[in-house]
Amino acid sequence: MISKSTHIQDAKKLLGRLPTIYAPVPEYLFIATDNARCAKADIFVKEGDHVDIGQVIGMRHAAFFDQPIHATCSGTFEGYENHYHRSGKMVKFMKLHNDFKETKCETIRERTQEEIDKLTKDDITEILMQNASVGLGGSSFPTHVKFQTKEKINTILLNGIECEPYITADHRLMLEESQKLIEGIKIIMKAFDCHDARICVKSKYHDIREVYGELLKRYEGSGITICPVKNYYPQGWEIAMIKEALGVKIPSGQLPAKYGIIDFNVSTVVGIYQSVKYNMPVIERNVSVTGDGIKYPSNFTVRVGTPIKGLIDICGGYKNEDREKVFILGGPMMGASLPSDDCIITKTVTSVIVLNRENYHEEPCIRCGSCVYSCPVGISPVLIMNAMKVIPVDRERVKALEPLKCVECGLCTYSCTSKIRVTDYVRRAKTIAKL
Amino acid sequence: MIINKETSPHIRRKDTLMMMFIDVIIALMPVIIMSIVTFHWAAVRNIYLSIAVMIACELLYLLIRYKKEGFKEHFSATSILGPCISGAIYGLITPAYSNPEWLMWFIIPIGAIFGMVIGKLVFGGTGQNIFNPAATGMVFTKLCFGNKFVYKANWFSQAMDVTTGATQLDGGSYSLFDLMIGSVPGTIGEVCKIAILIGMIYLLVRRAGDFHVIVSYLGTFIFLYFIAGFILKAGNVMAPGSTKPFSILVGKNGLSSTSVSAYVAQQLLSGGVLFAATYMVTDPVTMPVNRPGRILYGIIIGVSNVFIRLFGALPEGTVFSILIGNMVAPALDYYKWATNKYSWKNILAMASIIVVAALIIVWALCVRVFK
Repeated sequence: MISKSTHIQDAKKLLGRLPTIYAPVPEYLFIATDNARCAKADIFVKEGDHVDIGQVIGMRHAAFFDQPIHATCSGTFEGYENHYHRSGKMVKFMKLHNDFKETKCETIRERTQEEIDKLTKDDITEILMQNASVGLGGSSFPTHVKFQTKEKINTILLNGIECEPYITADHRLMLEESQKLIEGIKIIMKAFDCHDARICVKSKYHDIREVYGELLKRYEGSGITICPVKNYYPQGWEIAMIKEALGVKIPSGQLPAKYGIIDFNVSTVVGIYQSVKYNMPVIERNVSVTGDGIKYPSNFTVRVGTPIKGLIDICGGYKNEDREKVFILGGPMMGASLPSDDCIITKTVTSVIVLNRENYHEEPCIRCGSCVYSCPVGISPVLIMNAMKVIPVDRERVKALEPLKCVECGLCTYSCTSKIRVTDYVRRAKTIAKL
Repeated sequence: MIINKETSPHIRRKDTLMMMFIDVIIALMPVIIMSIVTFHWAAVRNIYLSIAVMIACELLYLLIRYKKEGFKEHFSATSILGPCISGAIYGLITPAYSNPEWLMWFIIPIGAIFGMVIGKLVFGGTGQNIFNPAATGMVFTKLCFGNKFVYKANWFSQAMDVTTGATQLDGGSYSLFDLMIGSVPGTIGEVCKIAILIGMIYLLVRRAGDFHVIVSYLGTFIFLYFIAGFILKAGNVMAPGSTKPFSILVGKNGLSSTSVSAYVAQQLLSGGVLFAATYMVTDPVTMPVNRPGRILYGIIIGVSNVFIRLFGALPEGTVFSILIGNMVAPALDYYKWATNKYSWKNILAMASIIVVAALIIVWALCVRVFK
């Protein structure tokens, strides 16, 4: 088929209607010492020390910011263990033995509405920095850096599109935590002194649109509106969303803030609300455990640091155990595949997807052009692939085909008629073009 | 249970290369059936002989290139279906009869081998070829055996009395109805236009053929022939250089015998234009990959086709113009200007090609028609 791929079968019908289950907190929790953005970390506690929920137990260092590490349960620190991180790397994790007393660190306290009203943008930035608030949609970009922008913000967009198939964590969050979400939006709007916030959802999610249509009537005059966008993939990509919601076209390589627009994921907003209202870091998040390799797919609210094996056991284990599986953290289009199920829920894990592996026979490329038609940034993946096959690689040629525009949405591999992994070639071309 | 690591994305679209090939074969079915109905055993011989020869060439090539060990790895259903399509198309663009009659048994395999080996396999097999194998084979046989071909109408109709008739473009004259149902002389596949249109609709519905090239090719063809038609009508001649008056154009059934649109329709329905637009121009391997490139490709084929027909030595130049387009295609994919976005640059290129071609036609025809 020579055609553009826009609608991906998303397999969300069932899971989007299942309520979120509160997953039991396990006996041992694991906190990553370093992550994809922060390469180094200092640990402030010794083995055998007692920790409380929300206590700062370390500090991660990245190029231009520091990020405190918080304990997500009360108990004792029992040394280090190696597990897989969501990025696919083996990472040193801090092992906490849960004592199930749930004692909270003294820094966690509820702010009254008057106190919140008095907070300025700089205060909120400081609070977010101390609570290590990051983009929970998967990017893990520190939120306080976004708050430091000097530009005048006219519009705030809330990304609840969740265009990746299978995942329903944000969908359920928007239905179940709607009050927190709206309070969070109000805090952000006040911080930026902006009177226009739009919650972007796919127009086919009628349940969310109905709920918010009713709910927003209570907040008349607040400036919060719901903004249905088209159903295609990758609508959740920042630039596609802004173009669809506001009609503003942002050239690649520029920040939306320059155009007076800032966008947050809905779960990030709930995290911001928790940080500001309770001075509490993100210790829980919504995770979908799904895929055709899982017996009973479910949505969970999970304590950060929970091993994923336990969650899969709650879901009834694996289906078709005799078949090869692909174990994915994040969406099936962009998520990382792990070599083992020995990994840990971190703040930015949106979903655990287990798929039965299909072994596709790779045919020769017949230049049908489906990848070119599907590409959301308008580059030609097949030409990049052909340029990469030439040995030695002609850097000028690769560069001229603009692989750096690629957002790795994966549509070229998805739509390939010959089942070639085109995205891999484009990824390699990106590294060559960066040299 | 085994967990395997792989790179993202982890899900794929349902359609496969095999399904796309099968779609093309299904789209070829009405044409094949109508050619057998029209030409009986001659059509069966042409089509299946060339399919068999082309499949044999491909398998032999795989054996020689990958030896016995690699053969299994590189052999798949598509290495049968690919040559099957090329073979069927090549069979369909050959005429049914030759003089002497037995020569056809040699012409078909020679053309099939040439088309497959020189047109496809020397470049590295499926997906690597620059030239359309069927068109390459046809051009070769046309150059070698052109004067041995016998074009004969063989379908029930008024035209039956024309035993070794000239095709429409050689100066024969047929009604639009005859051209539509295929009771005219011609190659076995291209005569029945209704079957071709059914195939085209199927290809477009299943998206196995790209509409960009079909629309731009046929659009250019029709536009340029309208211009040519107006001048020829003004000069009241049928073709450049000929003395036949424009008014006898539509033949016995005489629709509105002097209208320009009837002339254009007749040109469109005669020869292999529709067949090529449906099955040969849409061959994805030999066309550029970008949308603007594909439109340009269609325009180039359309322009060269009209030029060959109006001014060339050949009555019919569709396969030649396809080869010309094939030659240009890699240049359209050159990295310095290949882009998937419509910009003023490539729209200007498209417009200028059409305008220049139209001006050349106006000038050349005026010189020849009005002396």
